[in-house]
Amino acid sequence: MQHLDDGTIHAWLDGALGTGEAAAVEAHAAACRDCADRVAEARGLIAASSRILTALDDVPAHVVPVERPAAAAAAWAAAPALAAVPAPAAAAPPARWGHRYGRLAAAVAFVLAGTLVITREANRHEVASRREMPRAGNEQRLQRHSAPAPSNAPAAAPQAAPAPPAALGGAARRAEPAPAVKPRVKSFAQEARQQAAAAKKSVAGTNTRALGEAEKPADTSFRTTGVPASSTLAGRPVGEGKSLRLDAVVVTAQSTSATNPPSPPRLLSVDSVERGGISVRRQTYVLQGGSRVVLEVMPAPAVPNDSVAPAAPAAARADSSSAAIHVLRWRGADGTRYTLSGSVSIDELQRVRAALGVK
Amino acid sequence: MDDAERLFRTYHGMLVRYLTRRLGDHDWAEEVAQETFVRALRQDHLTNERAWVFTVANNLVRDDARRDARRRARLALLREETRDDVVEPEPLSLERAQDAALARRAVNALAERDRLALLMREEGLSYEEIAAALHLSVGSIGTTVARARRRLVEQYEALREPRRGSTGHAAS
Repeated sequence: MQHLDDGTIHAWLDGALGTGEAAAVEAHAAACRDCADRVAEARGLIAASSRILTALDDVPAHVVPVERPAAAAAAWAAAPALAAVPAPAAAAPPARWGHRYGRLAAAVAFVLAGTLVITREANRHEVASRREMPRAGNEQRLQRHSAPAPSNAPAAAPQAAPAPPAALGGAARRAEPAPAVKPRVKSFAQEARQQAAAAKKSVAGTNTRALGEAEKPADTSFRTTGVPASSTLAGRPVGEGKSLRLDAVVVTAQSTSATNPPSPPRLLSVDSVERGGISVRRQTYVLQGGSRVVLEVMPAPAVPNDSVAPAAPAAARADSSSAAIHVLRWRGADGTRYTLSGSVSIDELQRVRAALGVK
Repeated sequence: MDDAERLFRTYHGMLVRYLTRRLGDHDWAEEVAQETFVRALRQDHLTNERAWVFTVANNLVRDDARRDARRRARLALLREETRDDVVEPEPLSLERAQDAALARRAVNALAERDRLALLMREEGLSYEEIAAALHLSVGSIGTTVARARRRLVEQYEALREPRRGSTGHAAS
């Protein structure tokens, strides 16, 4: 038998060949290494082209998506649980681009999250600048805003400026004519001082263990970077205390970022295509950076050419030649074949697969 | 469920998706789909209804493209008037918008026959149905679809390469 041409391979993979011809093609592909490679490449092209075409579903504004067919709607309902759970027979809600109020809430959440990030960044900058600033100069600046102290007052004399940190920050804001951007940063710094003052109070008043229990995530870093175990905190001058407060801010920022892992892939759409008489479910996900991947789920009986396709998760042949789109294929324990493709790296596809929990 | 409802429920979704991908305009796709089903209802009997639906839709698109711009202006006006009744879609991220633009350019770069065959295949039409809709022989559909897939992927990657190159350069 001659080598298979592309048209025959694609027709076979699409289930368009008759029984006898399909059997002949399968037998040849199983025996011929070159044709087996071409079959693998054709599978990659099918998955890649499907993924590219799904991008065309992003249409201009002022439209409403159409009602999905019953099969796709059932798949939509079952999508969060993925293929491991059979699709329920109950009618699924019609697909919508997203509720207006839901998007509003998301926008508010986004603004709040952004504000939090800016706050943390401002605190970090404050920390960096203060670390670089000579401690004596720092103390002198605080005294200038809190009380009319003489300019040549000794820098390491905390008794000269005994104002509480909160009142100190407020006085500083009122007294200092700052440029347009500065008041916002100053308020962040004031907040940091207040937090740090509270931290210092609890540390100095009792012991370090109390702080560790109150702020568990920051506990280890706080003690290792900010407070030597043998130090006598209550007896420290104010200048020492300030460095302690600033370290606490940094630790808080780190612990906050550590509790916000990358968001999981977001399901964008579910539809189904018919291949070889079998409905293949196709789920499109949006990753955190905006890239999209497509997961195709093909039931076990519909998979042709099992003898040729790799059983373990593996990249298709098209992966090596095409840098833009990668394809990951594997077979589940029940024989279901999964194809995950997208314009992301293989490692990213592996992460997506792990995030989706598809075994 | 009467025959018209069954026809609509069975083919409306895939037809609108096919037309949207082909035309890049959801409203236009909806309009063509509606007209297709109106014509289908006038038929007493359809032997190969899926192929018939796609054939009529293709013809409508072809005829629609020949019409003057006044009709489009009127539709745009109607669209503005009914804007309050529709749900606005989720705003596209820059990445997705770029992805959609590249996909559109890659699809448009295909030959007309290859593009239609591929889009119909993506909607699950059999080779026989595609052949009937495009007036081709069944034996040529495999080659047509294979060529369309390969060229689409190659074209898409070729369009992405300059962007990736510029990104890499900026990063370095």
